[in-house]
Amino acid sequence: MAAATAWSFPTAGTVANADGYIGGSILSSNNNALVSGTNSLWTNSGILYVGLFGGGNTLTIASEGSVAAASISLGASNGSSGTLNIGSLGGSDAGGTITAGSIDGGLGTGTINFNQTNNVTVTSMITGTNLSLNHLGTGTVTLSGASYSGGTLVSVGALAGSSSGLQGNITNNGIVIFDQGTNGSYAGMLSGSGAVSKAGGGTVTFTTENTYSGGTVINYGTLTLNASSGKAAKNTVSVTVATNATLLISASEQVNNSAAVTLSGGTIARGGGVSETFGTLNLTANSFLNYGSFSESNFIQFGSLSMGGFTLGVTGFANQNQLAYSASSLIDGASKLSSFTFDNSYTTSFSSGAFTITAIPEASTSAAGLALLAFGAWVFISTTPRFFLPLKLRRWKGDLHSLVWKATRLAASSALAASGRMPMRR
Amino acid sequence: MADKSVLHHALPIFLAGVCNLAFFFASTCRAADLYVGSNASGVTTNFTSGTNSYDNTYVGFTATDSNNTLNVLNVGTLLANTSGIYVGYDGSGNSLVISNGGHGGEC
Repeated sequence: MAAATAWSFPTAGTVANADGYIGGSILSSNNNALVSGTNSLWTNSGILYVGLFGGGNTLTIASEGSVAAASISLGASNGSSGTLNIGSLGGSDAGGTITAGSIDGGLGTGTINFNQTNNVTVTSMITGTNLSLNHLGTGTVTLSGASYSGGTLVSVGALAGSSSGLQGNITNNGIVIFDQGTNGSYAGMLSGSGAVSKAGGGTVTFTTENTYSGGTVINYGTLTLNASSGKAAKNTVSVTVATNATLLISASEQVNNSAAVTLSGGTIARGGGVSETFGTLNLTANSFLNYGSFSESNFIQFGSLSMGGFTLGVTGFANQNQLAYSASSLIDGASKLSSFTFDNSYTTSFSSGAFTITAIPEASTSAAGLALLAFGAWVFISTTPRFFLPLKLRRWKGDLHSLVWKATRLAASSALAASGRMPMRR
Repeated sequence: MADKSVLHHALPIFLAGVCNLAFFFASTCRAADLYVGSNASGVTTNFTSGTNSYDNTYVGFTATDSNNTLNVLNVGTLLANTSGIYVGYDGSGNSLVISNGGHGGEC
């Protein structure tokens, strides 16, 4: 919760003490405290124990109430349990303010329920191997720091934080937002039907398999997918990359092969030796594919394309790199070439419903340099002389002249459309 | 209801029944410990004004003390403990409510 300042007299409903206990002995159970209402304050100069020995003890902070303590202990001893409710459980009220160095789960069972309707930020460190966190309300919860490992449930609303705050396995049926300006990694498992979002200028790396089925949205910064085993976005239904944002694929096949991709000015980049298969590609702004200048026969493949009149800049397109997408024929595939700009020469081919563009060395350095014509960039129609069109153009002057053609027969690997018009370029 | 003369002595205060303690004219009350429900259940105590100081406060002290409630209500109402506060020391189902909702019953 937002940091609170020291209290002063008079305030509404104020309790002050050294240590506080809700459920003191092993005999005490189901005791509770409620701090509710603006200016209501419970100040513990020591530790506030919720379930020191007993079970079922609860602290609820609601409707802008405030609790201060050196730390808050939930379920301190074996067999004990303590619950901290932010906002009333099952209610529709706002949360409150906690000022505590840490919220600690103990040897018993600790639970934090965020039930509130407003947005809150937890500045306290959350710790404990037996401590679990449930996001049950509609308000956004932002965690600053955490090392608890009892599990997290997001039933509704958004749970936000850096990779320092979002820890362990998260069952996500709402939205989980990694928001950070620095770099970090997440090594838990994100599951459930919810979405995952990246915000802030830093990089977050998913290092393990995740099975969440909602969308993956990179609004800012970089999300790196690098699961050492399995897929980091195994079941995600979609991937959206906004301007100033990057999805970096650092290990092969990290994304659901059917995930629809929307590029809204962002970049999909890949690491060395990496291939990736996506679903359909939709452009809503000029965007980028960055192959990383790794010379190898790895690919990025999409389903059908919806370019929307925008351009996809293909950078770092090194020798033998491949870009493929679904097409019903070579001509159908070639018709999309005008939507790409490559920083290297390439050849094209068609097989099994996929139109493939393969980077080749510059013509001046390879016998395969059979470059002929351009669709905004040089197009190589084949790497074998058999398909070389012995066309020689003389006395052409820049953009003043154009070549207009209509072919009745094209080789299967030809990059030429059946007909077209193009300006000449030096 | 425990009256002010008792509250000004450093002696334990044992409250039972439904009590509404409103110290409009006594800004500070001092006693050793406060027990809301000691060997009793269903006790409700409301602090609705003033400063109320104790060493310790117990809401439900023994194992049989259940469903006792201490309400600290209204702007300017303070319950100050030099040591600890226990909501269910041994008992169960006891409650502490700190709120500015503000109302209570008769003693």
